[in-house]
Amino acid sequence: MNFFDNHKRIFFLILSLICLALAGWSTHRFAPSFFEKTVGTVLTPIAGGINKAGSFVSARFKAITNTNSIIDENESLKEEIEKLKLDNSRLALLEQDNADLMGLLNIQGKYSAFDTEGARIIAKDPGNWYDVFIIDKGTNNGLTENMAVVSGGGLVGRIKECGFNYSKVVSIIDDADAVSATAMRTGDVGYVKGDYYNNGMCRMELIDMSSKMAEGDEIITSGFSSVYPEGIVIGRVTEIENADKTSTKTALIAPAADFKHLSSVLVVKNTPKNAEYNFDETTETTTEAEG
Amino acid sequence: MKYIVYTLLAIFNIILQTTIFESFAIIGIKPNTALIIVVSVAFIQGEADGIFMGLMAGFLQDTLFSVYLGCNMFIYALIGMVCGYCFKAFFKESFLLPLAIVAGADIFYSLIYFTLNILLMGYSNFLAFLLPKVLPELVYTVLISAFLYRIVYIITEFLNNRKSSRRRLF
Repeated sequence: MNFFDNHKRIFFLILSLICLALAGWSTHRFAPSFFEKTVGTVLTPIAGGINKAGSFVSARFKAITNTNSIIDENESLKEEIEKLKLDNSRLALLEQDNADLMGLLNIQGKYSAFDTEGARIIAKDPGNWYDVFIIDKGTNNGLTENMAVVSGGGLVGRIKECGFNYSKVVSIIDDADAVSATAMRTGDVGYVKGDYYNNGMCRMELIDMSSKMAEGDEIITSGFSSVYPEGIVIGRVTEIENADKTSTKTALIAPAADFKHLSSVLVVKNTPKNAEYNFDETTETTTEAEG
Repeated sequence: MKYIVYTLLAIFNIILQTTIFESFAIIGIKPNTALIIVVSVAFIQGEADGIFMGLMAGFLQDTLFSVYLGCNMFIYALIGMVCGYCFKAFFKESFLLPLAIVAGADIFYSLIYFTLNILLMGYSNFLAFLLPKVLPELVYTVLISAFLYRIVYIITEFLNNRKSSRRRLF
């Protein structure tokens, strides 16, 4: 290794250039390369096993330390299940009713039931800046890139890369990604990004100046996206401010999904109706527009 | 032999760091153990080893988690090289000195990472991140490094004795 020791500065320079080239090449790719896939396929089962062991131990530990709270929680959960059962039967009736009326009006089901696949989070980004995590299912379970990921009734993010037995998910509280969104009550359209200044919150930008959005309004995904299906809850507005430079409004949004305690997620397998457009072109134009 | 051990160390680290250490997060902040290992190896073994260690650690982190490749590889290799310069100058058995170097490297890492990623997204105010992210990470990482440096030291000592290499510690 003398040669390496003697020429380390040249080596370092060459390696830096390789890193730069890699960065430039990898920003516009949509599938992991063969090499990445191999590393991921080999490492993720190990990570999954260790994570399972770790969460088993911590769950036991928690069970010992807060038995009382667990009993209380159990009670309240039982009550909630009763309520939900009641709601469910009522909603089933409503759905039936709705289907009948839709049939009368000749409208095809707009909000068809989501076809979902449960997955466990096995590893999270080691850094403190980004929010990227890995789930334990990949192309072997029929997942592909750009499927929406939800948890606890709220949008979590989308699958960025899909390997054989793992997928990399980029969450919506990450500024690297943007979601086309709409306010449920007023119908205002904008797009939601992560906000690094307010950790764990999102920002909805480019809302029309005349909009009457207020605090507490529910934000859902709009139907304009070629990635996210329509009608997934994103979160609630906590604050609205005017962005003077662009004469638009910006809303601060608390996400509905609990990002601090994510352990399992649901992957929505439905693709939105706009997905038949050439995907590469649409995403590139949107990223340019969002700047 | 040496390089295989470094690779295994990097793999071992990334698996533990992304699974078990996640549950040790305090106010959502995790210690950067990859950085500690890179700094320790560079400090104990010199520049070339530091660069190799940094490349391995950064490569794994980039492959598995980054949105684009190459960024962490570059930063860790740079840190490995810079910390490798301290290799000849300082006494390796000191307790506080490695901690100071880790602290410096962590600030360096945060600054470069911020410049290469967050600043280019339009977040210009570094001071807004200082209190919620950079400082807690710094403190946590330095505390953890007090233990991890010892472990890396034992591993490298074992390697050096076994190979009876160019440098003996005692």
